[in-house]
Amino acid sequence: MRYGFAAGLCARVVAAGLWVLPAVWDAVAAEPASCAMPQDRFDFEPKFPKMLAALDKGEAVTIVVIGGGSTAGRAAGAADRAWPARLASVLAQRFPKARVAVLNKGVARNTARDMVARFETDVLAHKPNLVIWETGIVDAVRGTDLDEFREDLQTGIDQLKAQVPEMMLMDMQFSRRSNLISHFSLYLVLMRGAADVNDVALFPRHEIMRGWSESRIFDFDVKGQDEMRVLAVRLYDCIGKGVADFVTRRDPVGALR
Amino acid sequence: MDRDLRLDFFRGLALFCIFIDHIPGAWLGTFTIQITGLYDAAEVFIFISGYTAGLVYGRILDAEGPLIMTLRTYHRVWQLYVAHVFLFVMFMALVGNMTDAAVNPIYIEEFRATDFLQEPGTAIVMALTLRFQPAFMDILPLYIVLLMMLPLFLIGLRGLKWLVLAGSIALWLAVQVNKGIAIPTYPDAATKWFFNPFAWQLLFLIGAALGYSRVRGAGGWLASRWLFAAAAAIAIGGFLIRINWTLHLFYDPIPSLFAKYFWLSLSKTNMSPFRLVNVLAVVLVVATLVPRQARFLAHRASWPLIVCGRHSLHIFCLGILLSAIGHWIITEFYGGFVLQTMVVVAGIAIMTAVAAFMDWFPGRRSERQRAVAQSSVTGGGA
Repeated sequence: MRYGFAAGLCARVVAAGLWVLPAVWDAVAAEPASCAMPQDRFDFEPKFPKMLAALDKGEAVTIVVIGGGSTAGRAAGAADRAWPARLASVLAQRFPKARVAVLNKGVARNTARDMVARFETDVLAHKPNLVIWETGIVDAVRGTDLDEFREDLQTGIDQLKAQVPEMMLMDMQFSRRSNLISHFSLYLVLMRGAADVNDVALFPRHEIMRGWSESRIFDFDVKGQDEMRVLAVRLYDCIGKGVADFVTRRDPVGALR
Repeated sequence: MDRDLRLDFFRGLALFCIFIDHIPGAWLGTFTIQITGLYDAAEVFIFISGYTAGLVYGRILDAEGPLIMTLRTYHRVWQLYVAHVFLFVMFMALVGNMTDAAVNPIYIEEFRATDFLQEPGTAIVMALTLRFQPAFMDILPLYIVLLMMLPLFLIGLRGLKWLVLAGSIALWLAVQVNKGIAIPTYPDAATKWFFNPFAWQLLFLIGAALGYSRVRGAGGWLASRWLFAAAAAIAIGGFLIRINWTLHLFYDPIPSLFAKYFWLSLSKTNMSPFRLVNVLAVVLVVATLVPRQARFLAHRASWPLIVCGRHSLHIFCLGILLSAIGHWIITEFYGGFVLQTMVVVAGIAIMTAVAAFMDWFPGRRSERQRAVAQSSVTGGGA
């Protein structure tokens, strides 16, 4: 089963074009590096009308992010530089009247199952408007049985859908070497399938980071402690902005012409 | 008895598909065997390997007795084991030099699983005992275990056919009910073999039983018209469901039929009943519709498939290495459509060239040596 495989096919065809035409490639590379994402790529992802209405009305909005090490954000050095904090500040700017709280419940080395076990205390206790579930990396790297990973995802999704107003998934970080160590792509495909069959939105972080890496907006291969911290800060900032755009998508005016 | 070229042809096809499927992200992977139903190339490969093993070792069993047959089988097991260890060493060389991910702090929290590089001694022992199976190194260990079971099974098939089959089905059913029946892997003992041999043995043994029944001239019931009709219905149903999912991938608003149901019940690790029934149905349909003398088998375009299928163990191992290298090339150079296509074509060309060489080289030696070489090279398939 290869859900989400062809989802990236278009992106790959574009990438192919870039590869064939070095001139185009250079032109793209020469442009000022911006990590903004074209929003039409998310056309088929479910939106978050309830939370958006609360933001528009200026109500209190709580977003809980439950995830692993890349959510905790230690690589950037400080908690306020992790992507959930960046998401909070972008939303606060865009909806000054709303009281937005983004709670970071990232714990490094957590599997999907570990996270589901934390739902009660770390997620549901805060009565969130939106839950963002970032997962997959630890399972893919340690090689959790695919059936078990699928069941863990399904358990978590069932629980969240039943108990919180809106939820979304976020998949793994991109690493060029990840597939050499494990069946990384199978877990990615499986997460896309989970989102697909449950009609839950998925923020395709892996695909997005891959795009940034290919178009040289980011160089994930840097060496040296300081360079890597700078990279992490910039990356989390971009992810935070990207998620802010993603969760506040609106139906285009005059849609369904 | 001359070779059944269909076996070589379809095993060659499965080998090419496995090679392509193992290059994550290669666009051609959407169009491999998996597009035809609820199974993929791994099932085809294991079934044909079982069938060939039943054919070859069944013939030896009837002609030379159980002892010789067992020794021949275990000689083959030994070859597979050596091939697996060789592959593992190549893999360690590759990964040992490519662990940037492990030192980059963006990933450091998550990629500590590469810790096995810190204890190569343990890792090697775990590899030698088949407990340590890095990505894509999981099919050969499965095949080794299955082939080790073969002599007992073939001997059982002579007198206790139904008992052996019932035992095999019972074991497979037990896995369906209790997924804890599995072999743990290293470095994380909570994880298991990607291909659960207790489940996959059923497909292999069905293949072997059918192969052996051909040796004994049995199996006439397979020609039943009702059986064919049922198999065709299942094959078409599986194909329609699967093609619908593919269309859904290309354009999201197309609904994916039964996806929610099948999503939780198409286990590859434990050989879900849907996969098993679908692949067996397709095998029956193809075997009925494609006669042994089918003209396309003699066509020049079929030759690469047939020659690779004939030397499947070596070509399989080569394919695993080539897909790792191909994947590396594609990620390193951000290969799109064109580079991906080039990598796949080059890989298939290399596999074909090596298989052709293996075909040609023994022919340069004397006829007697050639017979020996042929029987050991192509002996039991895989």
